[in-house]
Amino acid sequence: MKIFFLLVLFIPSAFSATVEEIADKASQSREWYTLMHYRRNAFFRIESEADGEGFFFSEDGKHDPQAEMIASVKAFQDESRPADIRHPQCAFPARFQYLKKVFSIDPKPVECKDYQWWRENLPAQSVTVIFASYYANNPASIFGHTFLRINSSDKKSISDYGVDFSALTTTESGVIFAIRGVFGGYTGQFNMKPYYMKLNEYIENENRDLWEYDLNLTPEQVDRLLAHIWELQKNTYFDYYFFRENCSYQLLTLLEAANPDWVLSKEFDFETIPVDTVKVLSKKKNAIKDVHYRPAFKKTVTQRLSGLSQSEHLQMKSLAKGKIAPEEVTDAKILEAAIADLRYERFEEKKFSEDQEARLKSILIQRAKVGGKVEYPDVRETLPVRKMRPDLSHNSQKYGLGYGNNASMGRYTELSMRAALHDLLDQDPGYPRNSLLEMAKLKLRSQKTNNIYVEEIKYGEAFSLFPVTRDEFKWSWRAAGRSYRVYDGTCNRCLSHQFRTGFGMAYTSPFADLDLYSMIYLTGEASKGFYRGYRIAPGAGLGAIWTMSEQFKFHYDFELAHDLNRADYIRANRLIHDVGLSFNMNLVHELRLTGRSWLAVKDKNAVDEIQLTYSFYY
Amino acid sequence: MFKFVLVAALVLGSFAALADDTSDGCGLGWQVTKKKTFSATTTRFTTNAFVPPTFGMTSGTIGCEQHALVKADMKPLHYADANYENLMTEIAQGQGEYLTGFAAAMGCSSEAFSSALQSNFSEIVEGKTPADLVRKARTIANSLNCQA
Repeated sequence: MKIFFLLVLFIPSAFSATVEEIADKASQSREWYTLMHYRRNAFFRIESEADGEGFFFSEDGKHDPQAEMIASVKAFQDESRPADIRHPQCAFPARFQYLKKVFSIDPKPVECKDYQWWRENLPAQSVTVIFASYYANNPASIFGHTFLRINSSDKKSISDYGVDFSALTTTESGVIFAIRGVFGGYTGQFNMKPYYMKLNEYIENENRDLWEYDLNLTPEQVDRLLAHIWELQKNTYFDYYFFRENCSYQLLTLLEAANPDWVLSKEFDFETIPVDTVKVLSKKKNAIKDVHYRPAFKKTVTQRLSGLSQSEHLQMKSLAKGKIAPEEVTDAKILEAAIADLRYERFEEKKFSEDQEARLKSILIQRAKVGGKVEYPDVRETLPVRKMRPDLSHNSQKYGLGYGNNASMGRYTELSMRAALHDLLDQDPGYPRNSLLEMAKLKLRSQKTNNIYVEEIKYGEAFSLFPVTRDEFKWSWRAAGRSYRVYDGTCNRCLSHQFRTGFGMAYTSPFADLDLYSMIYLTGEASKGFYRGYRIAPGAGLGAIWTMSEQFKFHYDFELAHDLNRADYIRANRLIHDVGLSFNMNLVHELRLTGRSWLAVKDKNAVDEIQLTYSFYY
Repeated sequence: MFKFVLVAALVLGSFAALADDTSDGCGLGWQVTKKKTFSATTTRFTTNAFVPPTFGMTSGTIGCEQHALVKADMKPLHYADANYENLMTEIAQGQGEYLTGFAAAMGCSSEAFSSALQSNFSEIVEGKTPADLVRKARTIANSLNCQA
């Protein structure tokens, strides 16, 4: 503030009044807010999300847009600073361009060799948002990850540069990592590296699909984007918060600085799920020009292998296992399938014997000798790509109102809420097929007597189905933690706290979109209503998931459980059935009919429940 | 005991090195607390994957790694090293996106180049390193009098 007063003495009063007046209005503009990353914090105070002090010329810059604007203008015109790459004009090119226009100033230009060199070596024509999708057997990866690619020309090359925002972490224990990550204990930075390096990370090392969304930005906006990346990198950093100010959130703020007309980050108050940030762009009129799909390595392998007949497949397997010599095979298609099979095995097993390495090499040599190229059908023709688009999937939150009848309770109304994300009866487009990942689900029930009680709190559940194929065997697994009401007669509708885990096998029918699974379970739970306060039960069961059409999905599941520590008067074996039919309207509304029953085997009294629920995704 | 002393010395030594390094951050106005300075120079992780250290990247005139661009003359080698496995597979198969990218980095995008690489594959694969690959590819490109 002192410097400001001193400078005022040297500047004609008419000029300083004009700067203040212009700044009064312009500092509230969307352009200024997006360049400075201003936002109202939890206490409704204006605050810049940039955490490094070097980003502000004014002492109050972090909270005062007008003071910052005035101080910035002064800094750009300051001829006492060295006129080289350290000058504010070179450190803040985007901010400089904007303020030049707003204040119509034309200060003595400084040669910014560093910035110019960087721009010359980073030709930029357009920008693509890349969404790295989930990968198999890891439900947490459903949330995805986003980054940008700066396209140097029309032919989008894998040598173009990718930009992402990620946390600089140290190798600490899992608990400390989680705590620091959630509470902003790590610094986040924008990083740039060639796209092919990111491909290796995601497609090869992590087996994830990549979705490329080409953005509609003008050359001026692309220019501002790059200038802004430079000024963020050079002058500040952002504390990284896993839930909200994460990789996807900061990419949105970058895009808003490039195109202030896009309002993108505003709706992310508590959590930013990467797939939701792609959706917000997808919903903006004309924001996205085109969408491209890049399959995970596994899918390419599956395509190569599925194109073979049974006899070709046998020959391929013999070749891959070393039972026949590569010189005996002259069919390029079979050779390439064996190559894909071996490479995938190396990827999956992470270790490859020297024999296998040598075998792969000799097959490659044979393939090169045979020469020519093999034509494969476009992956878009063999996979339902449109149905797989993550931005077209149903929204993450779900709210429902249901009405039902429970044999031991009578009629009831149920209110349900789920923070995330997807269950077996939700329609799949954009999600892994027949997967389940639920977090923070609450069910409240009420009956005629006007009492409201907690029916269920599901802390989390994941179910990963892995249908066995002729090329691959993997276990399917399931785990859930919840507190729920017991209706199987062991206690009088007591609330039990349960952890259940299971593993087994799944199989996809070739005749319909139908998955069958068989599982072994182990359940541990505690409740005041149980004999000795707890219950442990191993069990086994079967299930079926049938996607009948784009609107209808059906699920049936049963488990036969054996209580290890029941009181003598309680039957040891229980049979639990679960059946459901969902009718989905446009991935926004859903009607669901569900039925459950609990039967103590050898006991004639089965309790059952039937419910009709209307829900919507939000 | 000796190992512990060695490791401790290395750790303390790196602390000392960092304490003196005023340009540790990123040029003008980088304000990082001491705590974060240490974090900034240890191994980097994205939220999901480990990123191996890279070579052949520039550091710009201000010494800022985040802005690293691949040095122009290192492009083919950097590319070949990062994509070696994919590249070899695609050379043997005569086509592919990694091969296209490599040909572009070599300044030789013709069909003849890909074909020649495929025919010479057994020779290329004998050299086990990316540097060998680039060397052989360069010989082939020169013999074809390649225009980009």
